[in-house]
Amino acid sequence: MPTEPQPSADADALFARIADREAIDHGALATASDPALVRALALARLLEGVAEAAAETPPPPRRSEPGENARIGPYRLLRLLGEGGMGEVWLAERCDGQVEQRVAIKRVRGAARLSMLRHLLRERRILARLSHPNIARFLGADVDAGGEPYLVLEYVEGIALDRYCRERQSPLRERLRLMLAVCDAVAHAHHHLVVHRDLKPANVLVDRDGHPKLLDFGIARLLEDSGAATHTGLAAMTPRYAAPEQFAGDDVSPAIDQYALGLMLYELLSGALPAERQDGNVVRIAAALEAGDPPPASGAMTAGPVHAAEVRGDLDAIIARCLRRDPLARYASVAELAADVRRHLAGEAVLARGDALAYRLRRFIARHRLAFFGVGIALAAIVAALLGAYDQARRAQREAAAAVAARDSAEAVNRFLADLLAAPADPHRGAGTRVADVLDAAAELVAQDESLSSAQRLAIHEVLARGFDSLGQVDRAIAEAEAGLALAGDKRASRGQRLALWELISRIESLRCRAQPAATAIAALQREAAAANAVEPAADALVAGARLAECDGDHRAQLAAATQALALLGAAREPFDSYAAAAEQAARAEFSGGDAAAAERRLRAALANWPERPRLLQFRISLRHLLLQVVAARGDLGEAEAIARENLALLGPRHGTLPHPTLIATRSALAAILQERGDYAAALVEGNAALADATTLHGAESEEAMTILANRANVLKALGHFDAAEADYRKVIATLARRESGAGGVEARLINAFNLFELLNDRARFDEAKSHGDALLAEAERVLGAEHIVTLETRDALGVTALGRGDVERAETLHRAALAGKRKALGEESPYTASARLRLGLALAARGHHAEARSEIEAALATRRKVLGPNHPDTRAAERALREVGR
Amino acid sequence: MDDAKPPSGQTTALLLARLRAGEREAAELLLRRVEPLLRRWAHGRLPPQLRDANDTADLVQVALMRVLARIDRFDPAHAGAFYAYLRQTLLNALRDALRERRLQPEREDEAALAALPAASGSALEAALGREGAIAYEQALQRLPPQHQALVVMRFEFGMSFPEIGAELDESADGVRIKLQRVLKKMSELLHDADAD
Repeated sequence: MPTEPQPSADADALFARIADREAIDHGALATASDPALVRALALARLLEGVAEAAAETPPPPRRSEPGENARIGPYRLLRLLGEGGMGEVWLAERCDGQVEQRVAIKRVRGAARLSMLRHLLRERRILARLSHPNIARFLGADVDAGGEPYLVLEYVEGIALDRYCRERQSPLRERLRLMLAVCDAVAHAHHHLVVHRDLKPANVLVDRDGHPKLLDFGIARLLEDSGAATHTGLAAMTPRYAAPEQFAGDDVSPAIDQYALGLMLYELLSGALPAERQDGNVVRIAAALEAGDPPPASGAMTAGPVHAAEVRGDLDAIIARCLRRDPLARYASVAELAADVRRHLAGEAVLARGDALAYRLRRFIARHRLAFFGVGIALAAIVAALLGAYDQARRAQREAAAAVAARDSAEAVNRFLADLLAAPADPHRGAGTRVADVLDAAAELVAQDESLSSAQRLAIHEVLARGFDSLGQVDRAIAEAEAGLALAGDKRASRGQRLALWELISRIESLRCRAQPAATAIAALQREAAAANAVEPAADALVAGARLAECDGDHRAQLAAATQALALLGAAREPFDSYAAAAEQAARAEFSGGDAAAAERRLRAALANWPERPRLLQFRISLRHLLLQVVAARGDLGEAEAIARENLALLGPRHGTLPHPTLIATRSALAAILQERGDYAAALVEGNAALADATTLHGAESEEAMTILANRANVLKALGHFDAAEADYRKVIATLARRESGAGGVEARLINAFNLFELLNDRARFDEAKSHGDALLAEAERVLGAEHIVTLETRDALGVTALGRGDVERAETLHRAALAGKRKALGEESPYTASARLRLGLALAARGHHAEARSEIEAALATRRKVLGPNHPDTRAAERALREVGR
Repeated sequence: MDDAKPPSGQTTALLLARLRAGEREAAELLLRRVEPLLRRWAHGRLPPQLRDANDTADLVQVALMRVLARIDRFDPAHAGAFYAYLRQTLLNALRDALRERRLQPEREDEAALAALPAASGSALEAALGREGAIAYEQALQRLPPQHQALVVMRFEFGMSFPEIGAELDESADGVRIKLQRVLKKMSELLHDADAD
């Protein structure tokens, strides 16, 4: 500020100087008598003070005191362990000659002693109630000589949870085990009405024995202190792990701890927090919360020992459930969260994905698929093929839409692409040029060609976006769409293009379950649709919303959105492609929600009176695919086969050199149905055809090719083509080992390794089988756990190997162990338990213990008759075994 | 604060409009811009026990969160209203913090707390005295909202005339003249309050 202007006696001049924030010499004006001037001076004083108070900059944080070796009560401080908003934590030891004990001393800052003392006293009461092996023990609380309150807590020598997992490269199950222990500790605290409010990996220390301990209930509040919930306090949280309601300043409840646990799970499994939370910037976090849910953890994996395929599905759904914006939409309690994680570990259906029929079926099959492969019940293969086929059909549907859009697009674009094709810049590019190459060249050209107007550029971006989308190169499709949107601006003329581009982004992002970008695109599409007063994009936005709800396993929301879209489109069912997409979503929601009959009715109604327009063919096939799935699920394999064959006929002869993805999907589904029906020879023909096409279109090592190859190996084995089956198994195992993601990742590889192991047993190559089986058992136990079906079945089959090698005692031991494991994990009536009994019976017979052998085989036979039916080959095999032993 | 105007397209009004149109990055730009102003403001109002860098930052963070949570619903009644809104949000966060930590034992009476423009022992109270601080607050509250915003921007947030002009879409000189009139009015309100 300027320092020495002469004071003016004029009040107006003084106001000008106050406004300019000039220094006023109050002394010189002290004798002023003009009332206006006196008032102006009084105001000047106040405003100077206001400006002065606002000009002061915050000092650096105070240093902690006291230092090392200081005494507090009977303790000597050894070193500072940490410092936080509330105070500091010291490592200390008793120095009064009583017990040798190292403890953690928690002190509060010198200031605000009174309120802190109240806080600590409250904490003392809280902690005294908490007694749990995973919560750091509370040892006492007191006031030091200077009147400063302090807490004495169990000193946990360990490292923070995230660091522990990172340094040890902990596998998935280990990480889940640690989180389960933390969940149990938090559930215990919640049971005592204590909310932690600041859960984060740094507050969980893992000791050298691998036991996690939860620290710092220092900011917990007793719920009972303030009624049902308590108000968020200043700084009583770490923004990186804070729940939306903490940002909004709303009431807090145990749900905030659950939210933090969800984020910790996200971080431990994917390797990092969601991007917007990584630097703890509250503005960015709050903005991201507004925009929607974080992307699934499986979509944000950093390099580490946990694979995306292990997280995709159940664990993504469990995390998403914890991270719901609405606290009421999360689990009812942390105990429920823990129970769901345990269900996942046991291979059971998790609540987070709803109790949908299809999902339960999928989990059931995942647990039992070995039998299905082994004994020829190919339901697993069918469902796997159908699910894959269905996704592929949906991709094909997009392709059809892209073709239409391309036809309708601006002439300038056609010319651009025609020129590109007619005059290749690359002389080596000939008649066999692939669409992908043309699109690549076009993308490059549009970036370089400065003669193009922005309207032409926009139109080209749109075509490129659709083109890349149809090729499945969705990231590039999104990039082109975004480039187009950047050009689309606010001009009325380009609204149609903006609608098309937002529709494309919302469809792609919702199909791949990326909630946040999908929600942004859907919101933009809705806005544009409202501005244009257009029904079709509004319906498309609802359909995309339905897909997102499906990603969350929220079938009710999925059905609601799809039904709303159908209502918008009205009885006219036009435009029909939007209608078909909405009907498909509604049917999927009904099917997944357990109402297969409603789904079937809806699909049949949609398919009746289908308009005969060539461009709708893909939609029709897509809906029929879903119908096929519904029909197969209710066991009508005859009709399922008929639908598959009709779909093949609808697809017609192949055009061009590349197979159509829908064709591959349909053949693959048909092969699975034929396998299920026991028509192995026909299944092999279709499987071979599907494999050849999948190899051409997706590549020899693609997920699609591997799925079909693994199924074909099972068919070959059933047909007795052992060499060919073995070659297929080995190829699948080697490919999955290289990739170790997709197609079920490690689990899929181990399942195929087990199938190969059984094949070696079947072929009486017992020495080879033993080394293969021993290695498999060790890996399965380590990676999948003792109760996983692969582990249980491998131990059982090793008994067969031992018997084959003449080691009957070892065989009996292994079968007994396998039987005990299966009874515990699967129950008495499982066909697997029956198999273990049968095998034990055979081993006992080999040792001459005939009575006991007969009793085990009879029990196995009874189970098989009941569960598999009297005519099942396995039931017959048990009858034969009983006769053999009887002789 | 220097005399730099906000970059073109980034005045508060435009950023708010962009925000309402769904551009989340506008929120970040907006809040990043005002955060230093808020921090200095908060520092001057906190009690000594809470005046280190962490506590000041915490208070600002809480206020920013609240602003963000409600920003979609914020409808500026006049140019400059956003700054008055920021100030009010900060003041509420400050009062909550004092209430939360029970740092005003002699002022636990809600009515007294609600009238409090700054914590006991704050830099503001040290500069104005408790009575002065309350008198200032009362005079400010009696001004029409547009005029309140002008005083707040100039004296509480320390903004320059060109900066305020950019916010109000007026020239720097125009702002200066308007502020002089507002100050005159405010001095009369202060006097009236004394007389009451």
